Amino acid sequence: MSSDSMAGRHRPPRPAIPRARRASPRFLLYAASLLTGLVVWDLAARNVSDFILAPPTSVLAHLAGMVVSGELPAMLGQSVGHMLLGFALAAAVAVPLGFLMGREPRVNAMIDPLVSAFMAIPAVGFVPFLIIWFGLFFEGRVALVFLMCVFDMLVVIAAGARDVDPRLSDVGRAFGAGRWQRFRMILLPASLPFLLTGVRIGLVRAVNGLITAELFFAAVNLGAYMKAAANRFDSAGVLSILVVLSLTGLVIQEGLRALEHRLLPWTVRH
Amino acid sequence: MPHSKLIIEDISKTFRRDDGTQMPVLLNQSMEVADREFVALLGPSGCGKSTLLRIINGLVATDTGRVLLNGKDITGRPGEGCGMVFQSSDLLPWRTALGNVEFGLEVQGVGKADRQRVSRDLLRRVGLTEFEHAYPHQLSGGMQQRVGIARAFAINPEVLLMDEPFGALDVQTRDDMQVELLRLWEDNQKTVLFVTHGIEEALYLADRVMVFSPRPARVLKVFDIPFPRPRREEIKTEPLFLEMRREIGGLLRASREPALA
Repeated sequence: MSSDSMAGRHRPPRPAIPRARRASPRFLLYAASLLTGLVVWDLAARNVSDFILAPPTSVLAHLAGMVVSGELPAMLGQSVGHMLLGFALAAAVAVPLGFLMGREPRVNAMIDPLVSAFMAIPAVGFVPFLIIWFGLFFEGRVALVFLMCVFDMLVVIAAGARDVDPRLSDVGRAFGAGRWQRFRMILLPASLPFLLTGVRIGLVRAVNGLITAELFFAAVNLGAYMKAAANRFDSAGVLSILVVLSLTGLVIQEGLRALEHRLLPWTVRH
Repeated sequence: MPHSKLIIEDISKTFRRDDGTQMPVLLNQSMEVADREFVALLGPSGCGKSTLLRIINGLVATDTGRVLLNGKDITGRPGEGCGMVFQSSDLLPWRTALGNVEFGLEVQGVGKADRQRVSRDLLRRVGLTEFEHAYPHQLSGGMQQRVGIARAFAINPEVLLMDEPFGALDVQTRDDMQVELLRLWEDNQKTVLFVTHGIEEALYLADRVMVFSPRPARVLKVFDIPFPRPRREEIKTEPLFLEMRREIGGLLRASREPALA
């Protein structure tokens, strides 16, 4: 909308405000991208024996068997437990601390170096200690998922809180909003896009942490299944678990994107 | 003058640059504004008149002096009877046009039904009834600023502070907005401080024009504007209007030249 007829009263009716909708070409590209991945995988698998790389078809058959037997739903159900708890604890730390870091330069100056230092260490490096502190089972896995999520979320949420346009804070102050009102009515909504991105990144990291924990602590659920399959040289079995993980990640990401579209109708989309 | 609505006493402000040097922007500025008076603060860009406005509003702390509204000291206290219209409208992008107009009332704790009634009425008066559910990014610059003006009027402020509100708009839209602002103001007269660098804009809108020097800002001369109200756009071509325009232009040029030399 470039020009703008004034003197408001006798304006000709305007067409309804266009609503951004996901265009179908984008959906087609999305499908094409996944399909290309499958085709490349299939072509690669054709020239080698099944135990080096099983083709998508045998993995699909294997997965179907796991679903029918009820094995997969049962394992997933158990794995989701430590994943969600670890993620929730990480969010409970990262959201308030991230806001503090973003808005209070002193807090940031104290915490940011630590975050940067820890981020370089792969979380599995902590597993020996986590085993000593939290044991080999549920608590240990939760701790690892927590560690794998928390730093990434902190960085994104702090960046979002820092990024809020100071002119918008001025609007709040100019209209007499107090600290709490400015937080609730300006800061929180203004950093919501980053907050949701932080949650999305955190959840994907949590899926990552889910399987890492099941492989590096006492092997259970999906991790145990994957290890056993690897010991049998059953590549379809191993790949089935990997496919389950990547599908879980995809579903979570798409779900959160849909949520973003609902919660953030004001962000400009292309 | 006990009847002044707004009294500004001895305001000075010096900013510190990043390299540690001092940059004085305002030196011992005082002025008095009568109730329902429309005063334009006219001066070159960056001279410090916007800073004065932000000090009156309480967004920027002053180094010296004080600001009195109805005899009450409001120095450094934002939201005390002043409504602000910002240069680039600065609407909250996650709120619809209606939600933005409601903002100030919501801060004051006014109930939803009341604030929607007030806000809808104001949107109607700025001609945006059909756009109450539109988000700022769906509105043109002129429409955004109309929402910004409605937002300031919504809290029924004692004083309306306008910081180059039409500076970012194209010429045609700016002219239209001036007409619209006068219509609104003549319906509901407020005390207005209007910062601008447009001579014609100041002459057309204001009862009194205060011409500022380049930084540090001080008042070079005050002009009482004699044109009757309601004002018509035709006055812009009257000989007296053109003469005042020429005189102020000369004044601003003369004040600029020593800085160039």
